[in-house]
Amino acid sequence: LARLLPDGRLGVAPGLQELLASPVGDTRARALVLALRGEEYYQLSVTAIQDPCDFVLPDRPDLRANPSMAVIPLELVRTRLQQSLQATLLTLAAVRRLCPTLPPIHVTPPPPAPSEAVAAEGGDVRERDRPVHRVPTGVRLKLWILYSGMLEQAARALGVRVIAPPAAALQANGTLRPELLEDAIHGNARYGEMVCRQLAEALEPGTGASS
Amino acid sequence: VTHPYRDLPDRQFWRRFVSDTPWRDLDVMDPPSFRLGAQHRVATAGSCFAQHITRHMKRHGLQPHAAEPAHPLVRELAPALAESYGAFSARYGNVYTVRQMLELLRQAAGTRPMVQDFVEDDGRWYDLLRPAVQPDGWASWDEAMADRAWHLQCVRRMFQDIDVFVFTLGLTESWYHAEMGHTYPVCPGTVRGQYDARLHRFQNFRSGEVASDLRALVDEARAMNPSLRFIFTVSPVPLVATRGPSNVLVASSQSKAVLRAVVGEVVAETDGAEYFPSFEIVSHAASFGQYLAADLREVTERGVAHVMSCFLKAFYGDLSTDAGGRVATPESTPVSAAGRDLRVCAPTDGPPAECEELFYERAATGLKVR
Repeated sequence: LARLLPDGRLGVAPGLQELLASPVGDTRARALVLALRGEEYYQLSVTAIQDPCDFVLPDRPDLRANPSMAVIPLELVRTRLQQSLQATLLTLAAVRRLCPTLPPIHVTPPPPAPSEAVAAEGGDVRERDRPVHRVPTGVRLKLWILYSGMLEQAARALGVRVIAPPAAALQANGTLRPELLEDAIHGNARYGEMVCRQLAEALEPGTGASS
Repeated sequence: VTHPYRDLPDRQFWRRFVSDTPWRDLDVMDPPSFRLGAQHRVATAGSCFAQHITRHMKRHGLQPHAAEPAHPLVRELAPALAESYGAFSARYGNVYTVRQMLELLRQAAGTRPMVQDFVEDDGRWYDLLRPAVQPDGWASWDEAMADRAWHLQCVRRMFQDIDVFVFTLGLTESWYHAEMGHTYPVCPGTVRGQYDARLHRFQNFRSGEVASDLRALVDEARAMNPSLRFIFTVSPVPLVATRGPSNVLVASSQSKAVLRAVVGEVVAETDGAEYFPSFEIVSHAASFGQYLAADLREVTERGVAHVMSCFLKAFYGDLSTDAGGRVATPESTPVSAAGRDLRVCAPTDGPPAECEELFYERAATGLKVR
């Protein structure tokens, strides 16, 4: 959707320019809600299917690294996530440029569900994603925590507000409640409703619960 | 007249074996009790000289066992760091003493608790038992711990999986932690950490201690892998510095003599164990010091190539067959020196071995170590 051109300028796909033209021209629009990509952290989980690995996240000492897995230095995990986030951040930058007056809100993708729950899910997911349950829950959760933190920080710097997953959708350790899974990796319609209520509350405090 | 020397082969007699043979052609390695093929899983460990064994095996198309390879993400994102994974079969760094190797084996086997001796330096964490394997350190104490736990798992799996363990004995002098009892590869405060005279104590292992440790190493490794065989060698590289009362030359002689004598004893009493004479090839007076670098300590690449061609020939035999035709012994050209025929093999390029021990000298001369 957006990329850096060789001369350093930000290039935006014509389709995105066209898409953004309509909400900009709509005087009733109060915000632009985005849910871009979301697979950035997930790509690393897929890597860990083939070559098991873990890492240490200082903020979550309860999610200890598995001693039977290679330990990837935190800075390398960050580097890879930063690379993966680049496309999302460029798109957010493009949105800010094309919609300077419309406040953007980015919806963070849901955290991973426990691996046991994912293993039990069939669903219409790509073949490469099916074995993701082999990656321990803790590894996938740490990747998501790191990713969502980096996304939130970078988006805020671009003037984009980020909405975290609804607290009610999460278990005590931060994973997605299994009943809110659509398939191995996506939230279901019920999860979507919870996010919509959260968005309504964010746009107009006090309305979220009844929206 | 008959006597025990009467029918012995030429190699049993100094004049016929040594005096009449160019050093390059001298078959110093006695026929080993076992041979190896490319299919055998061979792990390497030991002092910095041991790095050459790994490097030359790879150069000759043999793959030393890799129990702790760099993860694909590390290879992709930090290729320089990934290289450090290939120095030995696992990422233990240089293991200078038998005691250090034994303690590592015990931690890996779970018969000794994992040593937790990490230091923080400028916001990064370092493992004093492997002070140079992660040049930029780990991000946190937890990360350093986690990597050490993974490393020990790899070492355990290595000992369970391999056919042969090649161990280069380097030193008898070492440092240990007075309270926790573990042995360091190098004195804290040189490569990393702070030296604390109360906690960090010097010891120079005596031959009985080295022998006891080496026997324990064999026994305990075989408890994990009963069919494991051993190749021991003694590093020909003298000490960088000694902490004992003697001068460094005399201290080196004592250290190497102890190691050489102990290996001879243990190999003689152990089935499936061999001694490989790296020490003799480089350091024996009959070599005329031809493999020593200008400092008379480092072994030149030419010397290493000679040692390794002997090693490969002794254990792998016809390498061109075993290793798919990629094996080539170094080219030799005869020269004359000191009235003798010597053969000099063509120099080959190779990275210098990484020796933490060198920091003893750098620290003593006030050179910045990092």
